Amino acid sequence: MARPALLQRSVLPGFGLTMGFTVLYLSLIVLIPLSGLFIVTSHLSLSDFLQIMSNDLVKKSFTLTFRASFVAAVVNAFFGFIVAWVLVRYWFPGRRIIDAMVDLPFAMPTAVSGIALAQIYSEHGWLGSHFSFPIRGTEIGVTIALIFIGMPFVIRTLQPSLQEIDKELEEVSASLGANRWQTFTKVIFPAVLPAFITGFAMAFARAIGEYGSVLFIGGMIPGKTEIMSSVILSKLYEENGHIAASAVAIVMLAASFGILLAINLVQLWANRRFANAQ
Amino acid sequence: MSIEVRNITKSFGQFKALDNVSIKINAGELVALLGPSGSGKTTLLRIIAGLEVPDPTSGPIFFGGEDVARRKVGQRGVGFVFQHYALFRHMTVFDNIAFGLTVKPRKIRPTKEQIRARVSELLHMIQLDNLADRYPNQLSGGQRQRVALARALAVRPKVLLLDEPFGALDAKVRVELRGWLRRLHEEIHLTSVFVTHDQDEALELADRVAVMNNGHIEQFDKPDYVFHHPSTPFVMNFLGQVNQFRGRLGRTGEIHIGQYAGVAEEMVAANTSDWASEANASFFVRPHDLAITRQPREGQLSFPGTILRVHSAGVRIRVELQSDEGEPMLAEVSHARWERLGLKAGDRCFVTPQSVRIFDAVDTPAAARTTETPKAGASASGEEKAS
Repeated sequence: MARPALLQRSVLPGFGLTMGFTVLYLSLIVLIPLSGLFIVTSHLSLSDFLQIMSNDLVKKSFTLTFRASFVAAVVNAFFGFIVAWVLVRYWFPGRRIIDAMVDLPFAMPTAVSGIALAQIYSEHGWLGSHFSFPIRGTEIGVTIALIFIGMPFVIRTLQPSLQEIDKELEEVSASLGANRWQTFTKVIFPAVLPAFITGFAMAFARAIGEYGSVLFIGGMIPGKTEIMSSVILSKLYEENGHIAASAVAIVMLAASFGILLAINLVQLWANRRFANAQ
Repeated sequence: MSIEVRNITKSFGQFKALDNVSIKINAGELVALLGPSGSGKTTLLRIIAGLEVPDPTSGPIFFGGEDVARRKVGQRGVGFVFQHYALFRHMTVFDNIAFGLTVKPRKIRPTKEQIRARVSELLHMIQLDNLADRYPNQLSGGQRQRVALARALAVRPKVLLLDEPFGALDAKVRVELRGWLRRLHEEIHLTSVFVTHDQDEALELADRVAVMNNGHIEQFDKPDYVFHHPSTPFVMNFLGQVNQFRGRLGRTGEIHIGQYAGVAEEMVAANTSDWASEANASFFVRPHDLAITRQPREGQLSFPGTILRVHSAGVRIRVELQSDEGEPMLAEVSHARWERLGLKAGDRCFVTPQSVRIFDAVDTPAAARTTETPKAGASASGEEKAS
């Protein structure tokens, strides 16, 4: 009789060694630090935990982080879609250069992008001077930094998906009398929707955790432009601060985990429905 | 609704996919565009559909009496079925079929109930009544192609165009679906054009077959006529296997192939006026018209050969031979005859072409004549089917 799938011996050698290494590695790098966080926080009673969370500055930073991240992710989703669309469907001179530029926010040190954005959007900067309202040191500035660092996620997840769309699907849609807008909304967009959601969620998750670039343009003004990562840092300097910092960190962790879970569920759903239709 | 295209040319860069093609398809007819890959058959179909724009020098495209050349695909009223189905993966079978109805402008869009009724009618027609809620990836290839067909028919097109509709299916399903499509056509009598590279499919299914090669139509006739009276060597070659010999045609009608000469029982020339003068010619003999004998036949063209291999699995025995010049030949004989002959692989024998078809019996300059060595070849166009 066949053994359960998990126990079946693989034909490929080296399973024991590599699996052992994988578990050890993940434990050291991911699991142990994270569980440490929970252990530290477990010294807190629930009421203490709630008290830390209900602190005005903490609450404000929560709201700011999630709101700015969400807005940034929405903006990225919209414009990222357009960029991915252009890069996949049209050929034009300089296409490869633009395609390579998309990766810059991935590769650039956040401090570098932060200082660049801060200068350009300051009151006297190239762009900042054209606005009647200040950008540097405001939530708008924070959001711009988050848009910058989240941009590649939507584009890079959408590109392969858009590429996969068969020209025949559009032709069949047109032959059935659909106009271009209907073809887009009913045929193309639903086909790339899973990738779109995944890209959005990844940009969102990335934005929640961003620190470096926001530091420069936002200025981390408590209650105004201070994001959660910065709150964690500032809590550390208080008395017994590491516990409070951990408590805030736990909430961030939960948020990241929730987004990760959502991404996986979307992918699972998409795979069930769309897998190997050819 | 009849379809007529006149003088259609389509170039892709330097390559001419279609070269001044004209064809008229009668209302209610089922026509096959048959040809090898690169012959332009799919391009012609796509131009009829409006998915491809012909070169500006091209003539009109008539649907009924109306020139639709300037209309876009959505305005031509065509149903188009792709080889790989092109179903919408994120929609159920029901939604796929209903698509053409749901995207109609609101003013002329049928009501939900009308759409539902039309879709169930089509589901019934394609015998998939119970699968309305399935997604395409839950269907077999044959089922998917039927859904694609129903989707194309839902909007009641004036013509139905199918691009290699059975190309992606396995052999058994292909034959089933072929019969089904033929019956369907007899029911609804929609003017239909389908592209195929499979001669069996074209001959069995179509009312008329247009054999295409190198961007033009070689012959457009009823299937049995195309098969029995091919008008060009290409058509003869493409429809079934054939032995081709190069030689000379004498003034009195005798055939010279290499050192052997004689007449054949039956000789059919595409253009008999050329018989008058001695000329270089290609002689085409179907495998079942190539008789195998132990002795040469008196007065007839007979030449020796060696039996290489014998395939006896099948209705008729297929014999692979080789001429003394080393050219392969293929003959087909009945089991009974084969037993009487009592030959086996490796034996020497004589082959006698009984029915010979002659093409390009025209004078060629002496210089060209010397380069032409007697040639016999069994071409196997049946291999195309495997692709």
